[in-house]
Amino acid sequence: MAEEGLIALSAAITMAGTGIATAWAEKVVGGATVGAIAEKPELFGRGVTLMVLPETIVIFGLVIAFLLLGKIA
Amino acid sequence: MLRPERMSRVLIVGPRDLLEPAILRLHGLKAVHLVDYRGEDEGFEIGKPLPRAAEVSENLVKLRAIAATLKVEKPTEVVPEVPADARPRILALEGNINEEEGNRKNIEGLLSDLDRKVEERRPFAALGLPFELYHGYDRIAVLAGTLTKDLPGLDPVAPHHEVFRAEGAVAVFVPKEKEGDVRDFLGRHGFTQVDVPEREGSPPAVLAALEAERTKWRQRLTEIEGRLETLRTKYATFLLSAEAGLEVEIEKVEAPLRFATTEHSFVIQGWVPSSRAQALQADLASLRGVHMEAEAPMAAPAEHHGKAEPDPPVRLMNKGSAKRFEFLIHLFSTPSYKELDPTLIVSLIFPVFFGLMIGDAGYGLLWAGLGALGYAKLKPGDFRNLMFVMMVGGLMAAIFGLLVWGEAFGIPFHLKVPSDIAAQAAVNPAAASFRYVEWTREAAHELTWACGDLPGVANPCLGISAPLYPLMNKLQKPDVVVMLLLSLTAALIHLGIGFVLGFVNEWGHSKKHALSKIGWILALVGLFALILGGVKPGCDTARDTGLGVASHCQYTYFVGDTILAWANLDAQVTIPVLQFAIPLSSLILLIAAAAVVMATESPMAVMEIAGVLANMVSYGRLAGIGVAKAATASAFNTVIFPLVLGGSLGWVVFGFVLLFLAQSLVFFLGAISAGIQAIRLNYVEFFIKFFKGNGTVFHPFGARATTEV
Repeated sequence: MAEEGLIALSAAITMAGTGIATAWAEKVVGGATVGAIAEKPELFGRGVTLMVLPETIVIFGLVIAFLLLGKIA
Repeated sequence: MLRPERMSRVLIVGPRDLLEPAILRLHGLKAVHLVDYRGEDEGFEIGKPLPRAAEVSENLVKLRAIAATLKVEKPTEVVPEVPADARPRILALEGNINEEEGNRKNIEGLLSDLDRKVEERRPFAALGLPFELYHGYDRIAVLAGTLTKDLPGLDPVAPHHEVFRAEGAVAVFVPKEKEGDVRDFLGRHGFTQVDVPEREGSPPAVLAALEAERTKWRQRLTEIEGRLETLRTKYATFLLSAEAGLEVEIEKVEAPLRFATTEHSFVIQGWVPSSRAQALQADLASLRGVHMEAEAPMAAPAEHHGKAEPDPPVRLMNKGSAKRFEFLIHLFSTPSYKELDPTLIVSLIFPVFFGLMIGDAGYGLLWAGLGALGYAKLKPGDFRNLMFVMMVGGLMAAIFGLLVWGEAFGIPFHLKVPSDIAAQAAVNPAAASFRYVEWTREAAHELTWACGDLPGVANPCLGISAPLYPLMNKLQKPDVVVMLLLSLTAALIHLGIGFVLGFVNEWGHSKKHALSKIGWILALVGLFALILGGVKPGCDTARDTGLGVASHCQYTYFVGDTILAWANLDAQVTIPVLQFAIPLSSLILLIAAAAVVMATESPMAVMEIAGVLANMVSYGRLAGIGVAKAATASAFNTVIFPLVLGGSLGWVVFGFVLLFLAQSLVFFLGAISAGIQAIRLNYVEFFIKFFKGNGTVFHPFGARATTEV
């Protein structure tokens, strides 16, 4: 039981950590991107691409959390 | 479909006196994308606008000024037309409007002056003392003005004084030597001094006279505005169509600025769709003296060594529904002339991804309906195309929602026994039935459309039974793992297409770079085999894959045993030091990939294989968004439905309102996140594999400009 609790906690920490990391990274990139798009609207495509790149971090977190939860019988 | 339209370079030459007819002809044909001449060749100069250009632009400036004064609003559809008597009409209108506008400005100035005077005299009118009593004293000072607060007695400051008070106004008469002290005292109590006009008479009478004057001028202003309004309604159509017409005219008369000219001739450079080159040549031949030369269609991956050749403009050649997706590509970047146009593939993949993430019959059908409505009602444009995209995406979501997940508005049609319990029943019935009983306790709280599905489970239900049974449930652990595996399969297909397109793009450019794409495909398949390492063909429930019991049973249901058997994932190799088991097929593919990539790119490029793995995992969002959205909807439903299903009328109404708000939130937020994530997978993971962009959109001379000239 204790082990299951630890696994669940690990999954939660994984999600929280990667979520915060993504949010912080997107904040930095997003701010700069909106500034750039205001000056040159045609940069939208490249801007969005750069801005959503950090999202992969939280997806990694999601996958790892699922794998961890899979360990709970 | 996958390539932009072929373009031919054209050169049109002719004598200077045929310049105008040639321009008019080209403008009417709307076939040539002009290349601006920048004066780089000796002996040729940049042309001068046609002689009537000055008049045309003057008319346009006047017209725009008139339209701005009359505040004529721009409708979306205007027929550009310049009547023959446009100039006299513009000049007459200008004179008329300038006079009215001048009068209006004067009266507005006068009125604001009157307003100020009225406000200044108002306190004196309230006090009731005639103006002459405020002036002409030798030893008395008069402090008059407005006062916002209460005024305490003045005795401590000035023993001899007289105060007249009215609502918001005060006049204080004090000896001259006390004036400064009293002024400070009053100032502390919210007093603002107003200069008393140097005149005689009773203030109320003066105020009434001023107000009468003000009313008179206000009437005059209304009259003028009425006349301007009449002018606006009368001339709005003329103004708008003439403005649009003059914009077209300007484009024509200023066109020579884009041409090369000599003293007696002109040269026009441009691009024309190869299919129209001959027709254009025949058409221009009718202007005796004008000659057109068209080159052969430029081949797709043309490389002009040495001299940097400008790329032809790009016109994407998609038909039918794919055309509606073009705006998504332009939003990122217009493809260059030399590369494949990904619109068709995006138009097929985007709705599937969107549908996978929404995966709900209710939301899907609503979006399909909303999209269809928007598409039918809106005027052509990007937003209408977006509605089309939402419609197709909604349809896919509805199909997945009906056939795979069997749910609508986050409520499943039927309860589903978790697949791991179902699978266990075949091997160990006793253990399975124990877990089944345990599960029914949880399931008793789950809301479904159909009632009384499973024996022994009395869960809340809506009493609508559809014969659609869920293959998967987004909130059951083993199924989520299957969804992750399906997402990885989507990654394999999508990224694989990306690398193949990259191979085709690079083939004409550099064979070596093209071959490197093969290396990346090997890496992709190798990594996929590595991840599926635990998933064996055949539904072997006894084996725990590390991804959850029995997940492979479900997965092989979707993917098919054959592929897994062919990959022979059972033959595993253990890497000595790391003690890490890897399927032999995966190991071979990855080593081959590393070899190809090292040979064609650089030794360091091997590190990028990890990047491909990151790309693949990134598709996990297809499962992630689906689960997150379903969980949100389920949470709202579980909390709110008890209110709707039972209780007093007030609670039922409140429950419905709450339910509507909660469902709307899931509906819109779900679509926004699914839409953004679906396009992101295309922009980031997919496009980076092959897409360079930076093309110029084909804009033929004569086609209506969407921006202001």
